[in-house]
Amino acid sequence: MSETVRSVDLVIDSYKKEQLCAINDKEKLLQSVAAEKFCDVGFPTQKHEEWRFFPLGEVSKVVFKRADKLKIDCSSYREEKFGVVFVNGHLLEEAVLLPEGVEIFDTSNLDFTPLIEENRFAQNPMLAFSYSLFEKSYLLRVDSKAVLDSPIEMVFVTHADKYNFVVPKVFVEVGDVAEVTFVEKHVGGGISTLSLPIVEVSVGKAANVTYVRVCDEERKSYHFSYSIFSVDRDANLSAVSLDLGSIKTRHDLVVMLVGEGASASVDGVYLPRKNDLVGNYLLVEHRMPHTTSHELYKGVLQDSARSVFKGLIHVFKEAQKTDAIQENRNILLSNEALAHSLPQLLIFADDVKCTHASTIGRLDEEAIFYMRSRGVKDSLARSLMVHAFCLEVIERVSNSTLRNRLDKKILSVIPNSELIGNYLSSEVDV
Amino acid sequence: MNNFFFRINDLHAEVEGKKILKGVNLDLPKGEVHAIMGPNGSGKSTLAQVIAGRESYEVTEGEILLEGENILELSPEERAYKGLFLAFQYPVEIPGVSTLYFLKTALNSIRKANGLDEVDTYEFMALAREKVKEVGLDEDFLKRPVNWGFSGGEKKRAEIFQLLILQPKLAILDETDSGLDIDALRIVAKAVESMRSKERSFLVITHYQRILNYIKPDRVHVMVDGVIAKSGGFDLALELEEKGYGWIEKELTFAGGRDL
Ligand SMILES: Nc1ncnc2c1ncn2[C@@H]1O[C@H](COP(=O)(O)OP(=O)(O)O)[C@@H](O)[C@H]1O
Ligand SMILES: [Mg+2]
Repeated sequence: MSETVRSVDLVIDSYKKEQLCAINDKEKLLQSVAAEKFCDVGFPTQKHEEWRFFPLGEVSKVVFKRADKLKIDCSSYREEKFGVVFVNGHLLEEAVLLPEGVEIFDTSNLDFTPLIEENRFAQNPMLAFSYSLFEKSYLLRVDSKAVLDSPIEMVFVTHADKYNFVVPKVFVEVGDVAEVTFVEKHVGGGISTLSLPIVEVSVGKAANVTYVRVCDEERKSYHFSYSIFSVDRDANLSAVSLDLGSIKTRHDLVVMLVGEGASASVDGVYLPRKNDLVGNYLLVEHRMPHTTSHELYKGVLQDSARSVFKGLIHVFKEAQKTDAIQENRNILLSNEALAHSLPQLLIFADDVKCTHASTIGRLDEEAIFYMRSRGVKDSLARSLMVHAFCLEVIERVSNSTLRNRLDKKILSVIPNSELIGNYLSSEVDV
Repeated sequence: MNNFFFRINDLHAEVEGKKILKGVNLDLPKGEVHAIMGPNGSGKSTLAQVIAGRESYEVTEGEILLEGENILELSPEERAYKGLFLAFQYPVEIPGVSTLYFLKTALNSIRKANGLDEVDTYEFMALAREKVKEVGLDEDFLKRPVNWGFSGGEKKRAEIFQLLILQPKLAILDETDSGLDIDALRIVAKAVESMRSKERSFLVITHYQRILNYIKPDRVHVMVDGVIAKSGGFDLALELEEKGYGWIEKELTFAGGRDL
């Protein structure tokens, strides 16, 4: 308890300091609400429904210190031609390379409406914590009608010591009818570093956005991401998330379908191993009629890894003709692994089509035997099946270079995957 | 010195304490085609799966000799390297694993284990294109996941397609004929006939005599309640077709269940 009190002090100190001048007035106001909320409720405990299977452990027991602003060479983290890099939440100015039609600003002098509203802090005390702590906020803007072939990469580097925290904050604004692919990548970190990224993405009318998120931090680091998307009329969002696992990785994701005809596919793969705990908490809000959402999250758990998938589809009263599917599939590769799957529907409209499905199982031994009986080694048969299981999600990324990169990352954590060889490139047109 | 090609001696197998195979004896010389017939539930598929190395069946007694070696000690993949192939009664769907990749991997694993060079993707494609036509399937099948969403008949043809690619020494076909219309049956039979040679043996498991008109067996065995209850020539198949299996079951009862 006393440590929560000290974390509260940290929040208050941080808030009082006038160092927060780099952010925008609306955000400043929200930040005071967040700080108040956090001081009021403190860290979530396992008594919170949303945190029942996600104990905070030392994250709520140690007072973390803000990581320093640093200039480091981040070229090794860059994979796409265009993009930006944030180190400990600060934009690395010299590393900005953006195509025409895309710009990045800090939000201090901008007029925009944040997607995060006050009620989110009550929903998620951890967001109240992180929101009260950011000191820099950026806005990445894609012009209306821009059609971008190359993905825009946002690299979030945590370069910090033990018990340091970082709070990168970005608002991505995609103009109407634009078409763009983003790659949000979390890298770096170290033993007991704490990353608390906050990302807001506003998808304009009839825009088409592919949003790939890769969490590939050091294995002993703590990572709590909060992302919120709003998808406007006739726009389409395709979000794909890849969690490679760390001691605690959690992603809270909110997708709001705010315009008629908006659609979103929200997919993910998580591959925890050793003592990892990976949590994906999804909330899809159908706020308008004729909106569609498809969610497919797949997990492969090794060793004594644990995972939590919690998905809630919330259909508002106005959202007639909603079409929503939610699926969570888990494969346990060891007896010690444990997956929690908690799909939920909350429906207030009467003319909707909503389904959910969830499975937790093992590899199909009959399929393994079938492959072995044709000469495919047991270990290869298993890694082939695991890989194929994950591919279903990755295949939703249409950019092939990006897809292959994600595939490589997945292969890097699948047992015996070196036996598979170059799977995707062995496909030859017949 | 044992110069039999394939021989099963007094094979007993059970699953979860339930005895299914109760002393199977069988001799299959090189280059011959033998049929195993028998009523549903008599243990035909269990025998096939045990030969292929399915670990969920526990072999409690007996041996299975392939060219003099007891293959019961070998893993399923090692048995494949020795030239064994089982066409499954119910081919398994494998989501996400492309037929092309799977089969190329299978072929190259077998070749490598036998000291042969691996075939590259282009050689393999040429082979696959040729063979897929022989079983009357579209080339598109190669791109699809193994058996995924195939109809019953397509699955059976795909098994024969794999058989044609892998060219085993001993092929066991477990009710490959069931559920096929007459055209598909002819295609399957023709493909099998094309592979018949002095160097290759077949064990054709079937419930019906129909397929044996196309693939004429050298010998017919009847399996009843976990044993080979009767063996004979092609005539036995005709007799079974006419009279059913009841009379053999009765003979078996009179003989105390063994040694007819
Ligand atoms: N894995 C299994 N678990 C339990 N019983 C089985 C299993 N496999 C086969 N059996 C039983 O063994 C008997 C023989 O089955 P099977 O070998 O499939 O016969 P056939 O192929 O001749 O129809 C049946 O009674 C069947 O229910
Ligand atoms: Mg059978």
